[in-house]
Amino acid sequence: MRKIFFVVFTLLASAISPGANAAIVKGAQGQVLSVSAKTAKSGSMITVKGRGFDETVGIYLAFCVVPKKGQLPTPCGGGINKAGVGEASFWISSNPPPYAVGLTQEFLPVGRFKEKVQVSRKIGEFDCAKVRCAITVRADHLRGQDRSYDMFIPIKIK
Amino acid sequence: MKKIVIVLALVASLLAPSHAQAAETKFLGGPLTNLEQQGATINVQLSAVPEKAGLYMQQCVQSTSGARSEICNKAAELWISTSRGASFLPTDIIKFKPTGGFISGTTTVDCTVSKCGIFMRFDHTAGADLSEDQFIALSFKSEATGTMALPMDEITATINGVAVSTKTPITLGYRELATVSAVSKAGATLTYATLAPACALNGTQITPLKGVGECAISVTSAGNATAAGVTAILPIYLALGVQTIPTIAANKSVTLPTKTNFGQKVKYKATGECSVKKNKLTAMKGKCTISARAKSQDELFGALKTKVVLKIK
Repeated sequence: MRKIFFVVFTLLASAISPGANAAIVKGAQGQVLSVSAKTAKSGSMITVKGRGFDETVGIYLAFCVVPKKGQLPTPCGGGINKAGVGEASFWISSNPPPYAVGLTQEFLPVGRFKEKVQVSRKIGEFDCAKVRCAITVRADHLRGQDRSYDMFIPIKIK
Repeated sequence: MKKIVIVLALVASLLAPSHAQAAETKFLGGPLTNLEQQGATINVQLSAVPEKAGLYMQQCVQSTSGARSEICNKAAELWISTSRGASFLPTDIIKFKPTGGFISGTTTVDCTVSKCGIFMRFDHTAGADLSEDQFIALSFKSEATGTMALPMDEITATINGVAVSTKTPITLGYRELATVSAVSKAGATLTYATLAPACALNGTQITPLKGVGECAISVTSAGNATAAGVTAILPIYLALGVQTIPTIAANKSVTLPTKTNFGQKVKYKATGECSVKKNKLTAMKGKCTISARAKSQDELFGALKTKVVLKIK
């Protein structure tokens, strides 16, 4: 009886608060990044939402190895997505260069976006069970050296 | 002695650019005389440029009325500013390329006959401020042969149907979609580009991405056999966007929108023959007033403060 109660309670709790595994971080410019889960199985999809991003600055959204502080996030699953396709990285820009028109995702009003990012245990030679990996946002290659837009939400791969 | 002083003053006034007594910007450059009809380059170094706004540098015919020059060469027009898209920074060595003749509207100008020069003024960000207006006279060699340069193409442009030019900017709100349309008088191919990240351009559709500041769209004519290419700059002032909610139906039970067009949460208050709980409006026969409010967002859009009066039958 006690076991049944525990199982029901656990199931109910997870149903009532689906965001229990979610995480949220705030960036230097007041922008907000959130993920639907901070623990996930390799190959699964995580819903990533952003709000309050500067719509005049393009960003890359990807699953990356967390770099040393102040360094460019790399490597990332899917690499730098200049082709604008794939599920491990996204290029979000409302004002892309002429060669990228149609390849990028546009910001929604108020600097919002919502994407499903695929996470994996391995990023190149790195094993995310051994090194820290994170859903990562950085300014796109047009501001590749600007680290003030970097945001990380670490993801634990089961 | 008095006569000599007056003569000296007259000579001094002839050497100084007009309006120069008011302008802070110091112009240093040359050559300014005996210029070739085509291919002349004047190297200019500006100093003491005010930080208040950028400058336009144009080749114009000197106005005789004291008003701003109106007859100008579209092909010899520079924007000197620290803003993105400007032709030169104020600290650059500026290359100014006037021609010995040009066409402005329906007027054909021969600078060996008319008094042409470099007209400098504040840019569109301080368009009404005349304090930096100054005119530096130029002279050209007489045309040696009968080879007349092609006239510059002329571009007329509208944004959302409203005529826009370098001197007449338009104002757009955050996320207010707009369409730029332009015509080349010579029938040449036109290309469009955005000169500032605050405005996105997709084909001819403009999307302002900020609610403050400014941006600009350039329209370039490639030129053709009958006209030389030219670029027109269309400045856009940016204003805070307007938050809206959909029309509320005059029914006894209505589900009210929870968010504005920009995704802000809406708070409702009802007075009269109705009440609001969360976003459910329940009304009885009579007059019902609903006030809707939503917060503003800095540099993007203003607050929503609206009242809707419903007459429920």
